[in-house]
Amino acid sequence: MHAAASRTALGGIDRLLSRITYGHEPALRERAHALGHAAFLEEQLHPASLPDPAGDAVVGLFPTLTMTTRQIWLAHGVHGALHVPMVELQTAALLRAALSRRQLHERLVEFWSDHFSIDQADSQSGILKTQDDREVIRAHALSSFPELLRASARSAAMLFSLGNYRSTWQSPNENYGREILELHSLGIGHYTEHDVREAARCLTGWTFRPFSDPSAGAFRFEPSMHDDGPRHLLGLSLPGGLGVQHGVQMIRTLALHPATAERLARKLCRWFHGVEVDSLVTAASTEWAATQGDLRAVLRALLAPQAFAAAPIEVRRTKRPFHFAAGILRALPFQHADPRSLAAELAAMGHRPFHWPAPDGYPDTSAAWVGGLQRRWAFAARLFANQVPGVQLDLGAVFGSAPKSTWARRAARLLRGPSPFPAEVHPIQQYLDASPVPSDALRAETLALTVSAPSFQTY
Amino acid sequence: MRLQPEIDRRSFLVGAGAVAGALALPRVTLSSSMPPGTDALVLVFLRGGMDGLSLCSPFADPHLDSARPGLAMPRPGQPNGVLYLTGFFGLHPAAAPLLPAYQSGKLLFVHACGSPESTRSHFEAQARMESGAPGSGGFGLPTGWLARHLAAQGGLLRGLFAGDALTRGLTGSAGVLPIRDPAGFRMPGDPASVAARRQVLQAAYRFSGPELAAAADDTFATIDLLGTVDFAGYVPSGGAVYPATPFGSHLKDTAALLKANLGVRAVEIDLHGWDHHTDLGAIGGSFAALTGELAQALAAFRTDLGGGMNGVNVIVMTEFGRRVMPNANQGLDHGRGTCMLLLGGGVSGGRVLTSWPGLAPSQLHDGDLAITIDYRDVLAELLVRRMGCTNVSEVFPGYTPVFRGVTL
Repeated sequence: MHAAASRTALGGIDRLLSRITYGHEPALRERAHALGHAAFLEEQLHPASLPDPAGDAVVGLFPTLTMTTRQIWLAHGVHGALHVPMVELQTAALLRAALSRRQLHERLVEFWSDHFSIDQADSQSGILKTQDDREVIRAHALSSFPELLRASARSAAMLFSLGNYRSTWQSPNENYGREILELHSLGIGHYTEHDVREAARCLTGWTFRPFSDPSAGAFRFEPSMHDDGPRHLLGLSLPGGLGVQHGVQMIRTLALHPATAERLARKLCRWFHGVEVDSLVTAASTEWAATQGDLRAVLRALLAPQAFAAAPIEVRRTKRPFHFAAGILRALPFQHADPRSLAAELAAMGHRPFHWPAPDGYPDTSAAWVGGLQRRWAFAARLFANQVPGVQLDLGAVFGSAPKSTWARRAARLLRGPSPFPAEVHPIQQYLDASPVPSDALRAETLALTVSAPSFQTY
Repeated sequence: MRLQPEIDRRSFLVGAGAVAGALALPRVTLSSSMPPGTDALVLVFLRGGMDGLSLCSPFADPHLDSARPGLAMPRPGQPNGVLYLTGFFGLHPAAAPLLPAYQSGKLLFVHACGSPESTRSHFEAQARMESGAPGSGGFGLPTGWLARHLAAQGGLLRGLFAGDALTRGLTGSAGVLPIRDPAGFRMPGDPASVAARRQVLQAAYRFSGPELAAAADDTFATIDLLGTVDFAGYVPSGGAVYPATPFGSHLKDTAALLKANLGVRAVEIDLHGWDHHTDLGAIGGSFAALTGELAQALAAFRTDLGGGMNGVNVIVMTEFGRRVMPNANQGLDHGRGTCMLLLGGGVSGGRVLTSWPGLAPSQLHDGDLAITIDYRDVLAELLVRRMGCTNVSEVFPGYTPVFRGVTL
């Protein structure tokens, strides 16, 4: 009984790692096993107290990441070079996912980037998304949902992309009013068309400072655009004359609404466990209500050891291309002098960050992505053949002096960790055995085949 | 007036086969007669909610000008005016490249059409529409109407989505893949070791879960199939010039694919950007630019296929129309009724099919153009009469479509 329990606990840590990280990496695995499930989770829930030189180094590679919107505008926007901040942000997203020690934080950044999806290709969003990524998504990925939702509602990128920045009392633009109810909080079925119209009116006058302003991209409430009459929505009665507080109070109500709690609990449960487990959704929703949307508490309910005991072990969820690519870059010591071409590689797999053309974010179902295997195989072949400009791997160093007869197993351990899949290792080794000369080309093929095999497509 | 010579599908295929060497087409064994109902379908989904009142404008509706202050376009014959289709409807001037197809009876507009939905959510409306189950609540069925049709058909590569992540409409059938770039769809790496590496992966995927195993099977079969077509060297026929946009190149690839006669029954291509909440730009703006791209690409496709259009039908549809009255940003919020386009050999075109509900305030449905023709009527008729569909009750469960004569 005790032996069985400890086997479960041990397996549980590797399972935890597979669910909350972008893939195998020996140092983090060692750390997790040393701390144990609960303490390791707690460490990951507090990213700010985790030193992260590798993640910081990524930020250092890309000047626009730390620029204000005004600086980005002056340096690139006025010259029409919007691709500079866009590609820098996309590449940084992938490299931070791969290299940061704050793995749970990065998994949540990806989650929230889709939940509050903004398409950089939509004119000004290309400039504004950098600030949104830094000050909304990353700053609040693990804070409280009311703060996250409020920050998003004040974000220039969001106000621009859903058109709210020009919405006036004379004729409100319903786009953002609808999506904040449908996509960002309550979800379908929990509001009426009347609520949409009232929400849009609550948010009239929520706009941002233009590029010509020294505080470009900062939130601005414009009273002359606001419909300051009384508002009634979702059982909430707001008197007239509240100004910006119409929106503020509505957002808080939305963030703490039981429907929001349950919907986000489901979505997060699916994100991490691959499936909606009713008991975990209930536990997480209960925490949401008890802590007023404290995301750490909600995540504890979903990811603590007892939560893993309730989640089905056998579920293997298909990684999206971003996750797939991050897992490769994470496992091996790539040199990335100028890795911006990785953004184009993600695009070739259909998953360029911050480029989903609709506000609902990239799809999160296996069915949507499972047809893209060929493009993953093609990416792996290019990457390991050192054909992705600016990203290099010393193939000789990866295999050292190991004899060719051990390469398949070695590649599996490096990329997947210590749980080999003989059904995959065996045919790769057979292929190697039939190839007479050990060469870098063969080393590259070994690695490409390993990540092209089915077990690397799921987490 | 007929601009294209009328060639039946079989003689088109024989003709295509005759130039197989030049186009690197696969060797095709032609049966002595094509089975009935073997048209191919090209589904163009306009994401975001296309304003049918701007594309096919009811210029003679007495309430248009008052219902659309600032956005109604001039009448036919006036500067920037709509192009005469009927005594009641005019075509958006940017869609002029579509006029020849209309005039030769190959292009049909179905107006005040749509999905009988109360939702104004893009995602809910799209999901239910594409799943073939409007009004079903939530996000509809997990599989798509087109996929359920294709599932009952045979073939290795039955359908494809010209993009990255499979849409709801195409989810749920074997032999359907998202393929953005058919030219690059091959086993990567050193050609000398392709066969051996492929064997390795086939062995590995045999032991994966059913979803991945099926996807791998489809992938290998499709690599073989597409490898027989020279997409990169493809030259459109008839001097057709596609717009240099992703949509244009997807349609060009689709033409090459259909001419190669690989058994592909359906291709979906999406065109995004129709969510015109601000600055509709009916004349010289955003809407006009998108409409121009759409029309030029479809016209090029028709020229390129030539007589082959006899066996191909294009459907252009969107999740809903837009509100009749503009908002403060010269834009239009989400609405209801809109128009569908059908272009192809099997289409009974050259007209605007509608039971026009009118634009007077009392005739609107919550401020929107009312829906008088269910989109399933149009799709079901095309599937049954041109595409060999015998399971229409599975394709559109719980609905008995009314055939309205959209096909020949």
